[in-house]
Amino acid sequence: MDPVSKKSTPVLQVVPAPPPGEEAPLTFEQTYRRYARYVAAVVLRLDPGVPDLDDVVQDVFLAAAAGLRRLRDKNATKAWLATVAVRMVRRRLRLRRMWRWLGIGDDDRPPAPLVDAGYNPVDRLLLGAVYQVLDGMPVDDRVAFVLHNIEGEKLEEVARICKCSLATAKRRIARAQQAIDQRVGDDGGRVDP
Amino acid sequence: MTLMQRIQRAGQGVEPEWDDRDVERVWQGLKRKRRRRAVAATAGVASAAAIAVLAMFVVPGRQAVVGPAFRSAAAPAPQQDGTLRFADGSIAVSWGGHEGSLAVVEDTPGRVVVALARGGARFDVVPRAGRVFSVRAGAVTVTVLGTAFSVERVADRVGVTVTRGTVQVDWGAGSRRVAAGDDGWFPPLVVSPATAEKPAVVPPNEAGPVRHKQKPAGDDAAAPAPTAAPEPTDASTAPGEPDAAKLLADADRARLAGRYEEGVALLRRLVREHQDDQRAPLAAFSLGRILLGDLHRPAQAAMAFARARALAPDGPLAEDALAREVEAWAQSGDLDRARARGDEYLRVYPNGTRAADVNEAVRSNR
Repeated sequence: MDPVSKKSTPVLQVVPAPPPGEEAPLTFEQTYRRYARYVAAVVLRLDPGVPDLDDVVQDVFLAAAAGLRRLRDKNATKAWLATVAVRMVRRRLRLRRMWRWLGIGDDDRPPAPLVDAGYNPVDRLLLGAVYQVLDGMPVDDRVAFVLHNIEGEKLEEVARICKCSLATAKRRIARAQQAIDQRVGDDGGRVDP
Repeated sequence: MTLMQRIQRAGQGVEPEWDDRDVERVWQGLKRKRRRRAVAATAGVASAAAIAVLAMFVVPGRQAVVGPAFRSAAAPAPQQDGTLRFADGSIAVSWGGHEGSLAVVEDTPGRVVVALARGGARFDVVPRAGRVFSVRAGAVTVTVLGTAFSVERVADRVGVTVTRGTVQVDWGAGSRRVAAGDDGWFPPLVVSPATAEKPAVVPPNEAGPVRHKQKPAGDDAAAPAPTAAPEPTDASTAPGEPDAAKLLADADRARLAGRYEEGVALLRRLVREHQDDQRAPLAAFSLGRILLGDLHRPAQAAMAFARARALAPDGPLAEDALAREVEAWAQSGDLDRARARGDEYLRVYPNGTRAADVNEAVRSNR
């Protein structure tokens, strides 16, 4: 290992100018500035109670940097960032659940900011109820449901991001939908025990 | 509109509501993180060594194993007591019988490479022409020229003691020969900026990886390359610095000789009298390690680990120190503090590599 050379290696390297007619690849900073809000939204929708959104977004970009450098298709940047964000949030959700189970987790997190900051009171109520149900579900089911039903991803994309088969993705989404159907009332704001 | 359609419509309104200043703020933090990680990565074996140290002491009996990358059919496998015996009579014995700390990476007629994952080991190598015998401990490689010597990993540093012959120690940014009766810790300590400006100390291209003190948050100027230099001596360092270096070296020797109380006293003095020295965080970490692992005083150890973190909150040992503090409080029976520190660990290092170890440590003491 050569720590000196490793230190001097940038996360994203400057590449030569592209041939005429092709768009230049984005630098790391350009990538960040273009997709920061998107990544933050993905993280927030997956985990509205995230206490350190800034940190998570930073970690997503750091984790995605090496993969971004290898991407041949510049149109795949957004999908790759979503994939990394989902993996990171999934890991955090699992870890948090484990710590909570051990009795050393933070059970007193403030209510999800989106529930408080929503523009429509009915929607706020509905989302609060939905996430209350999702909090009690397996993390994989939660992630698949959010990607499909809130983020609006197609089933094939959900399966790709979750690294599972299409059938598994469908099953996970169906389980979550069924639980929400059963527990969230018609008024959209009630959660049955 | 169905329930799912209503959920999707409502969900689309979930936005972080970041304005340009928020994007800029997070970008500045991202840049700092990148720099810190780059520094940590080049700080030699800080992270890898700390993982090994943590695995060794946080969970008693837990063993780390380094898998061989290339191994001939005749390569020796570690015996139950952690000893490796080679066909030519050379042996490698890990201290304390920690099986799994040694692994043969390569064993060919022209080259033998042994990896030390954690802890220490003694090597007695039979001289043989045309064969190179190397020991890898993180980023430090000790190449044997026919000798008997010991290698120990402590946090981000590797100690080498030669009892016979000569070895070549290579830490990437430099190398040094260590002869019989001599010892040293590698990579060498970072010198202070004032000392680093002295051109005679080390060539500019030998930038060293160890840097215990981070730049203050918010300072986005390019970080100056840390400079490695030989262990400070009275003639080459600023007033006061030799004392800290000597205290650390004396403490290392005392610990290696099993004189733990003496080592504790020396480390405590270093932390007390040289808290601004770059060695202070490592000294406090080592103090906690001795108190926890050798002297079984977990409450004192917890305070030492807390001190290590306080001395360098952004340093390469900070995460490990916090994890060790959790373990120490748990061992002391103060589960409230253990949980509090464990909770802090999750908040500060949500993706921390020590989470599983900390969990296990807390759970085993519930």
